[in-house]
Amino acid sequence: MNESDRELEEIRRKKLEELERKSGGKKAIDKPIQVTDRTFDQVIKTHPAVAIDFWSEWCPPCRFIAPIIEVLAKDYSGKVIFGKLNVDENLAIARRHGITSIPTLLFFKDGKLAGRIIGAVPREHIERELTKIIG
Amino acid sequence: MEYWDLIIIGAGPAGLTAGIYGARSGLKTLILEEKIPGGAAAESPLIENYPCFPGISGRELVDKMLEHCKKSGAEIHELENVAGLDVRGEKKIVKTNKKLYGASAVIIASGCSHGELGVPGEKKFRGRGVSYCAICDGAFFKGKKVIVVGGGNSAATSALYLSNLASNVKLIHRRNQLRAEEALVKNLREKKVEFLWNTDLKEIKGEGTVKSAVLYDNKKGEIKEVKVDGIFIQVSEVPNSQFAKKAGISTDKLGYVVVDERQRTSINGVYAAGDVTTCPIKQIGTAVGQAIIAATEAFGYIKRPYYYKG
Ligand SMILES: Cc1cc2nc3c(=O)[nH]c(=O)nc-3n(C[C@H](O)[C@H](O)[C@H](O)COP(=O)(O)OP(=O)(O)OC[C@H]3O[C@@H](n4cnc5c(N)ncnc54)[C@H](O)[C@@H]3O)c2cc1C
Repeated sequence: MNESDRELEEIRRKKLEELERKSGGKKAIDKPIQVTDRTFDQVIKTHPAVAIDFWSEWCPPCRFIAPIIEVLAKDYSGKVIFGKLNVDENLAIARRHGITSIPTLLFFKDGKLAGRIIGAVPREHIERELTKIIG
Repeated sequence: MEYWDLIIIGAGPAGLTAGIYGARSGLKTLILEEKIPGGAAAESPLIENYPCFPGISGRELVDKMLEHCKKSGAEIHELENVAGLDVRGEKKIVKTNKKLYGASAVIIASGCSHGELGVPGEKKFRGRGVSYCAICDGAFFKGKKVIVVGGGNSAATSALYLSNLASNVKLIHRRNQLRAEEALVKNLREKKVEFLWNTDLKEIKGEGTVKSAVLYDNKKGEIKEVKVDGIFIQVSEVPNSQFAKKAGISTDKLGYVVVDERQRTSINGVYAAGDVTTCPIKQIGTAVGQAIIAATEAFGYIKRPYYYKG
């Protein structure tokens, strides 16, 4: 990263923080946030621990994961940011990560890929991956 | 311990139907579903052989069943999977990941899970080109080359669905003809799906994602490698019957729960219906029919013990 990149980064971070403040005061995010191909990089860079749920309306096992993600977003509020990326509308990021099956969950620590879960799995399984990106 | 007249394991077409009949006959009925209601039927892109619906998506059909079932008064617990059963006594005990329940009768309607081929590369590339659900993952293969493995209705339906997205679809089957309905086969030909008969998938290769498949012609004894981006596996399924087997309920060699013509299992008061049973036809219509028998029999077992003895 060069100097101007760093500056850009700083501006981005501030903007996002501002957005978060506006949307929910000082309260930590306790719901999954919508992520798109355009916002993906920003989201994983600005938060130290992120889990992204790649899903689509047409996928039955995605509907199985969805309520679990909702609950985890609440339980891990302040520790992990949960994002949902609809692959029907956003294919680029999924392609970049070689995803061809949904649901897929990707876990990021400090912007780096740290874990991957493919398919519908129980909550405990997801929590095991979460411990890797916290702290 | 929470007590129910009838506990049904699984909320696919069989479980939901048993729920309708159980609740309507006045039984306090609970359906336990490991995931969300719908079962395998929700994965069918298009159903054309279920009476009254010449063409309906699986998701739409199961949503209708679910609504009907709820209206009938059956209770459904999602995300609650049955881990164990104790069915030795008159009162059946059902153990889930959340708690213990008591019931007078139990219907097993837990269906099947996707079968795996067990070939090299299958595990490694799962979710990186290898898929078990066309409707979930088809969109990733727009304009790409895919292979569907299998010879039954679900393989044929999946290949048809993919033929609207992928640039080339090959259906490979180890025998020289499909088990799928002729109507589906005709559609496959119209959609220019390529058939590769007497062919086994031997290995899946790639770099990051799937790049090629090694195919074996089991008649000529020849091996060839074809370039491909996606592989959809739709082969023999595996019955979800571990918990039943552990409880001493008879299963066959492949793990299907053995039932008689009244859907009774080897244990009194325990019934089974749908894809998890030894019934050779695995369709929504048969699952529904079996569930009607199972729920009606369970009702008789609970409410008319004298009539039903022997
Ligand atoms: C791609 C595809 C296309 C198909 N197309 C057609 C078609 O066109 N026409 C047709 O008639 N049929 C079709 N089928 C077949 C049809 O889907 C099945 O025959 C039908 O769903 C069987 O119903 P079931 O209720 O027995 O089992 P399932 O639908 O498999 O339901 C079983 C349910 O039990 C749950 N379960 C499993 N274990 C447990 C547990 N331990 N505790 C709690 N819950 C549990 C599962 O999560 C599942 O929801 C198709 C199948 C596929 C995969």
